[in-house]
Amino acid sequence: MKILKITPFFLLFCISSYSQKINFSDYLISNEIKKDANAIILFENCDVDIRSQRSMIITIERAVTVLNKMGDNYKYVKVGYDKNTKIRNIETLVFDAFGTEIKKVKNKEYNDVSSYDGFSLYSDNRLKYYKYVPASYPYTIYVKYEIETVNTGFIPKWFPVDNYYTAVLNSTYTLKSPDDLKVRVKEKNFKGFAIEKNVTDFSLQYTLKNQSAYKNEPYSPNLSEFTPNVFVGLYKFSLEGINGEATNWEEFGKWQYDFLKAGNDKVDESIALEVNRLVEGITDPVEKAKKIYDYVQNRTRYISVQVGIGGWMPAKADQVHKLGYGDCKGLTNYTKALLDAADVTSHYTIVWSGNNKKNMEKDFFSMQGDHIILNIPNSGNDIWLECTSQKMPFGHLGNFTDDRDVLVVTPEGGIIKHTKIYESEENTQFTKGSYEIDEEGAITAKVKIESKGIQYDDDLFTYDGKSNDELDAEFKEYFSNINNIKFSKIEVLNNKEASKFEENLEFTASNYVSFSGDQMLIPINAFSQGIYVPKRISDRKLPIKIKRSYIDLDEVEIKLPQNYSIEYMPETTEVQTKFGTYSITISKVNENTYLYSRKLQMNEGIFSKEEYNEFRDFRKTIRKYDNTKIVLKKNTI
Amino acid sequence: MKKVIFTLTISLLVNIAFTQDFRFGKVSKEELEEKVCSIDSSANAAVLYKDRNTYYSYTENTGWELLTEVHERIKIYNKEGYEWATKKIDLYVEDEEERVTVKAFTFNLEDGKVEKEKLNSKEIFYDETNKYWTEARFTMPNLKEGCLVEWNYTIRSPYYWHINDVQLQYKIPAKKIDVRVKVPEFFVFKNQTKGYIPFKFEKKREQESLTFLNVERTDGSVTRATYNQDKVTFFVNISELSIDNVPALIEEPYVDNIDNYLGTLMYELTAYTPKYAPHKYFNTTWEDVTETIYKSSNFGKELDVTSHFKDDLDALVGSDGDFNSRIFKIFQFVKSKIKWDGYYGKYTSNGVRKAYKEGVGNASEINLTLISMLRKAGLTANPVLISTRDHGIPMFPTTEGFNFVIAGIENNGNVLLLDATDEFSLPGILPLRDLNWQGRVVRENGSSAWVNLNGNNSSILNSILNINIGEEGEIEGMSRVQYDNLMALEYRNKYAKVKDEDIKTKTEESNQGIEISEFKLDNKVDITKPVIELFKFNSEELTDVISDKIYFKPLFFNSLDENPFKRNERQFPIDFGTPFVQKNMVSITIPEGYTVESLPENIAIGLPNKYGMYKYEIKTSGNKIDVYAILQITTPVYPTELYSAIKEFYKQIVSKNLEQVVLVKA
Repeated sequence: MKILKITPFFLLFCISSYSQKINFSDYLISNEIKKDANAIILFENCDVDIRSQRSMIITIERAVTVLNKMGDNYKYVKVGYDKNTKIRNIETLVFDAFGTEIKKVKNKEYNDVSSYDGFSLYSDNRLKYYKYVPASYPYTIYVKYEIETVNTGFIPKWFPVDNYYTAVLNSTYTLKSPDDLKVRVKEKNFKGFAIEKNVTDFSLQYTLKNQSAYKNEPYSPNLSEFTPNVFVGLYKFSLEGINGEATNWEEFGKWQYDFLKAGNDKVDESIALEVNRLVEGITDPVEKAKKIYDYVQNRTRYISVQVGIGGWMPAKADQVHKLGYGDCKGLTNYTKALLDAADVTSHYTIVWSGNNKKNMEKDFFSMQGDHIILNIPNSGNDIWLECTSQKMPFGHLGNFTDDRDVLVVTPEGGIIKHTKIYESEENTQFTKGSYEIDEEGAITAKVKIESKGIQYDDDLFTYDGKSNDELDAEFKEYFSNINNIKFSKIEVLNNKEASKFEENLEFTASNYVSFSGDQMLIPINAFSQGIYVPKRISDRKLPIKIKRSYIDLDEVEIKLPQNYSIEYMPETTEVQTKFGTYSITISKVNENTYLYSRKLQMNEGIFSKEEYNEFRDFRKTIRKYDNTKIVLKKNTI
Repeated sequence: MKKVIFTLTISLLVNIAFTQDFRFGKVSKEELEEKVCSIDSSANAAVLYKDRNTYYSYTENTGWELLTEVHERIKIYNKEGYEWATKKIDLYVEDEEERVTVKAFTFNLEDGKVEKEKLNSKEIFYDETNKYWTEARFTMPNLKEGCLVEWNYTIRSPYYWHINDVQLQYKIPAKKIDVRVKVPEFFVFKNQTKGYIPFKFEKKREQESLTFLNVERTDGSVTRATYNQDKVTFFVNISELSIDNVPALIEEPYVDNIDNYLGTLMYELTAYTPKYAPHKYFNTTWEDVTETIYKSSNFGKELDVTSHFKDDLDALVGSDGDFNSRIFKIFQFVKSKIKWDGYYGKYTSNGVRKAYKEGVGNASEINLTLISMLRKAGLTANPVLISTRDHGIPMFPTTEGFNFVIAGIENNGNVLLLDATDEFSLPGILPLRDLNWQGRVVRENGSSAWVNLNGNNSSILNSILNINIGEEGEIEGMSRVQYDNLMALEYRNKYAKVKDEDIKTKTEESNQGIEISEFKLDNKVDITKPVIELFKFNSEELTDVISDKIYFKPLFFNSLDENPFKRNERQFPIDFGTPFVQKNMVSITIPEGYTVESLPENIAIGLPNKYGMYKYEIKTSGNKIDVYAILQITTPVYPTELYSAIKEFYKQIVSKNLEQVVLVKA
């Protein structure tokens, strides 16, 4: 606290004396710590000074040595702010390899821009940044700044290893809190890391030293799943000037409910009447919800507007109704208000979105999450609604919000629940079709592809609503193993009722086969090519993570040309591993016709790093069998 | 004055209103009922009407102001078209601010009746993007499939010498576009256009007048002012255009920059001729443009700033009498002395002296430093103004046509081009971004001329593969690839800063199925020599072994397996960047006990007019198979008409590359 009362004038002095004291010469960094590193955090100090329930000052001081061009993301000094968060006393210095100061950034050299995310219509977040242009490597960039905020509901977490290819010599987190504000923490992944700590009810100190860099390896877990992080919170906090108090998720959820609600979740009488007309005669609450979800999908669209309260407050339900658009908060809150009007219980639910299945911390309550969905308790059989999509089937979540802990905000308080897990049998792609090869080697094909579960998502985003021209290009890309494709039919259908995406395709392509003398080579697997084999890694450090199970199934009837006889027909094969199974079967239907089926099942799971080669071998085997060819020989007359 | 304009507009519109009413807010039921766009059935949305009206206003307090009124009526057929209900308007706000006023409605058909919903002014957001620009953004309320959105906005600008570009085409179809630009005779503008949208100007003039209140002050012990009124009459030049049924601009792959083809009308001020003040003339020819740029204080004058590098230059070239060696030394010196901050620009920003001192500069600071150092070292070096690929093609003489400057050394009618912003460029080998039609060299004596930027230096790739096939079809091999000219420059920009170990892994990944045991790169940063990539590898996946036969593609992972040209037809030119030559030689040793059963046949094919050729030769002798394949493209840019020929040319190459060799056990 005392430190922060110093005048800015003294602070400047303080910094220059500091940088003289610390030697930024690159020659002092050991070669061992440089291994796999593009940049080295010499030190990073995050100091949090909680002055009261409504006032907090965060001081960041950091020196990073950038060793090569790949570490250049550290050439930026970026500090975000908004109307309730002020940046003070920003100072940036740059040093060369010998530790000599080569640049002191002047105030006017910082750019002050809106931190436009590219998709929001508007956001009132702003960004102050400076970009250094490196003249040579290595160089060291030093920055110190203070942030003052009223939001003690968001206390920065400690996450010292937050980038690949970056080593950390020293990262320190300190926090001080007044006597009436007890601090809570949750520590994760400390095992195996050189951490010193000193924790009391009102102060924290954590230090990590000499941590070498991690390489980004394919199929590995996220950094936050295996490197240290500390979550920090208060029992008494404040958000945008509104105080809160809680001791667990239940109470915290209750506070959030009251805070977020604020009369925003009621709709006008006339709208309530309209909703009731809509569900007239329906008694089953799920059927009612389906009607209302459909109604919302038809009259709204997703437009992001992030204003105030850290972007946490939903727009009024009435407002969303009138405008016909809203963001995830507004649209979810609106759907909830309509369900309320039809006596269907539902709850606003906060979630971390994204493919990575990030959980809300079950045993540590705080402001978490970045997306909102709706929960219908449905007497124990939870239904989850994604209210920002106009296209998704009722109850479909997809890889954006599936299989993770979320916070359900009920009038009685917060409850942590887990969203739907898609099992392999639900994540399917079924390819059914036939193709015929003529004597010239051209292919004529007819194929229907049906995708469900997580596989439904990919197809919906790639194909739905595209013009014929775009679909033509997309499917040429999908069948990039077949040259010279001419489609005679491309039909795609978002079958919401059956929760599946359907594609019906017909095409011909010349030169599908290759000839060698009097032999014709036909790649047997025409429709499901392109399996990816991850790169070879000599000394893997991280475990293997397969995020989701799925099944791909192909059934293809193959008609061979006249005047050729079979020289070689691939055989039935099955490969079983812990990562999944792969099988192909080929059976003769009649003289010229064969049935080819292929099944690939991948299993979700975490596997040890030692199993990586085995995993690669499995993928390689699949690639090999996917590339097998039928060999025909021209009949001599 | 304004009233006059208004009634004039109305009367013009009323004349054509018997078919469709384009007045703001006069939306018809028929328009709302329309299910599919009549001129493009695939359209998700269409501009039914656009009216753009630009004119001047004069008030004594503010002086000249430029007003631009835009009225757009957009039909939205389905949800995919909803994005067209969001509008963004850029406003320049650096010193004085441009301001905008907006009026907008959404129209829906409800129970057979036209219902409208107003855009609330609270729903208009002003994003202060940075200190130069603010963006006004709004999205329309209450959208339903089939709805119409309509807005009318007016930008009031103090920057009266800058008329915003007029967009004549969208990425959706536009059924009718009217444009009217009224300019007082004191301002003379020149037009240029982009894209393929034909139109014709209707030009006329009208008389207008302005009344000034004149103030004359007499200084003395007491300041006195006398007032009198002055009436000035003048002509206003009116240009009008009207176009119907403009097709949507469709994006295609392998186009240099799609915005080069978006139908656009641009304005540049060429003269200011006020009644009672000296006239000023701007650019009407390319000579004028170059002169204007050259005379600018942060261009031509910067070339005379030389004292700061004198000592460095003396130490650098000393008594070196060889001009080529001097050029290279200075070029390399400037590259290492001043690092590029990533900003384009023909004008200096902080000045050459400061850039030199701080070691950081924009494109102009770096290349103007290069030019003045070359000059001091006795070479005929001059600036060459260019337009980079993402900036479009300079077709009409305006200063805005150029956005970058490089150096040119003239010698016996040849021009050697240099760009010191790219670490790995060479004299005569420019980065791809610079290779965009023509640049303009500006000489010390003030004369200027066009210079071809694409040059004659083909990109070159030479690949040699040595392959040993084992009895199980397994392969051991060695690959040597040599990259020259632009290929080398691009390879270095991609990989010079990457560890060899990581390049090796990337090479394995892009040639799926090989494992590299030894990897070596020569001349990774020595730009005077070609990049040479050497590696030893093995693979079990490059051949198919079926009973007693071995099958493989004889170019192995260097085969072109996929035709890059997939579209059925094409609207825009095909741009390869530079001419290039790609040579593949493969020498294969087959396993003992096997003989060659069949080989692909040799071919030699070509594009019309010697625009390109492909040759594929394969022969066998003893236990060896030798393959020689060469692809040559002789011209960087091809007209659209050649698309089907190029597609067919590549089809034949791919087909040939996929053909297999068959070995059989004897």
